[in-house]
Amino acid sequence: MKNTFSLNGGVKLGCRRNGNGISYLSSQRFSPPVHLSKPYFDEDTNSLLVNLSCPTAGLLSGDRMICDIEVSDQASMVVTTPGATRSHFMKRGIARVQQKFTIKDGSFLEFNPGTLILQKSTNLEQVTEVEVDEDAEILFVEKMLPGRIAHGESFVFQKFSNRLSIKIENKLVLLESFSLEPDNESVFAWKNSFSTPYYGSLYLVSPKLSDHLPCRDKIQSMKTENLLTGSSSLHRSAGWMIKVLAGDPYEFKRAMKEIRNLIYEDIERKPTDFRRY
Amino acid sequence: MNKTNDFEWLGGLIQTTDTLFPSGGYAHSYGLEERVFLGQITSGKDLEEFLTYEILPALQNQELPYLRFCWQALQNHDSAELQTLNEEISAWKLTREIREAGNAQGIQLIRMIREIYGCPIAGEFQMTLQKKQQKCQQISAMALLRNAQKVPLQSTLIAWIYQTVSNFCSASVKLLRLGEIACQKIIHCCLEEERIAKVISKSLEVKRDNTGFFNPLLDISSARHELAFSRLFIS
Repeated sequence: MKNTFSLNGGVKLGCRRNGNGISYLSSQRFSPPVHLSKPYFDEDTNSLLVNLSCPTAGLLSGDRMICDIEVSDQASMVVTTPGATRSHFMKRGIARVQQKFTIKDGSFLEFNPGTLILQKSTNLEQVTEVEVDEDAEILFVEKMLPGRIAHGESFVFQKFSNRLSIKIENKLVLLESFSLEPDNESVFAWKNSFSTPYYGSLYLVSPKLSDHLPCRDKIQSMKTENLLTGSSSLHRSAGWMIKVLAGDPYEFKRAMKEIRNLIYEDIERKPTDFRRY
Repeated sequence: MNKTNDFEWLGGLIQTTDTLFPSGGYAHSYGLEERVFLGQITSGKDLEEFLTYEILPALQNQELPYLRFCWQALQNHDSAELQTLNEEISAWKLTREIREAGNAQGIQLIRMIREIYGCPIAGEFQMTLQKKQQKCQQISAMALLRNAQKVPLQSTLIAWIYQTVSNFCSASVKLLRLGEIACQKIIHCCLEEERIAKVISKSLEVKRDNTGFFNPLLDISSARHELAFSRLFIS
């Protein structure tokens, strides 16, 4: 039976620099389930901050969301969401998210949405393609929770398939693909890491850091009883991957924030405040 | 005696899965050393659980499908496809140590294939990769070896499972002080008929776009091992 309430929409953005060197939205188009806040240019960090919000408060069965962002002309852009992204209960059907990020001509993009919460019985498929020019940079962040932990909901989602590919000049440097189903071993390691496991992953592509990530030792030493962190270089020395597992939300939030600040320091940029009030 | 063509390939398969065959696997723990250091794997029981619930599913959903894709590319004489697969393997090996372990063993294996089997396809493949400044992954090299040996697909996959499990058990002799009998029992358990049949049949259903496995604990362990103060294994 077709779900007549499902939404087929998304967001398509282009970001460039104007004559004064200020990053601006050169093109924009969006439709539910995505709404775009008024972009904010942060003079201190020289970046354009864009908040993507979701009027339906999350993804529902049958939704198809496309996110297509291109940053060019040495522009700098930070894209986030005001809060967590919820993939809601689905009696049947699936929600699909397709994301494409293109970063050209010495530009920079940080894509750092709120945590993806895989709620009870949800079925979500996400495919992300990132294409970066040799002189461009991206910080791509994924955060994931296995349910509404505060409500005692954990690992009762139906399925989450995720595929991320990163290419530089059309050459593959990262391919991460998995399908999680709590009924089988696909979640075993995640589920057994901590009683309430928060997962985060940061992917950094930057020509400035092909051989060495100065903050690596600091990331390594962040480990506590409730936190595991690790970093390694991508294929073709294209950049770095940093993974985080935490046993509580405070430790997770603190670690993700600290790592973000360390990365920004290493790429010689200032982190933009997400302006979440 | 049954009429069989097993004689054509079985001897070669046994020779190249034997620990005497210089694959280089003995020097790697593939993240296990750090898992032991972190106190996550401390006994034979933990190792068996790790292999059963983390490694066999990873083989089923990632390594065995890619070994099959490479094997099929060779059956189809499609060297361009084999190169594409080799690059994809390097890209999904998320940490440097695991990627470089695959490269080191792949290069060693290609050398052995050329020395023992004089395989022209392996030589051409290696030259093409060198021109493109790419490195051969162990999975691609293994497909070349099994193709040269004329090993059927199912036996190729079973041998890969055995070698993977056996490598972890071999590392655990040093890391967990496991005895030979304990290790053999774990290997036997992993290779139990029903279990291995399920792993292989499910792996055969995996399509290219759905290939992959999620193990953040092993990714983090492998990444941390790169900066470990002291270590017994390269990975």
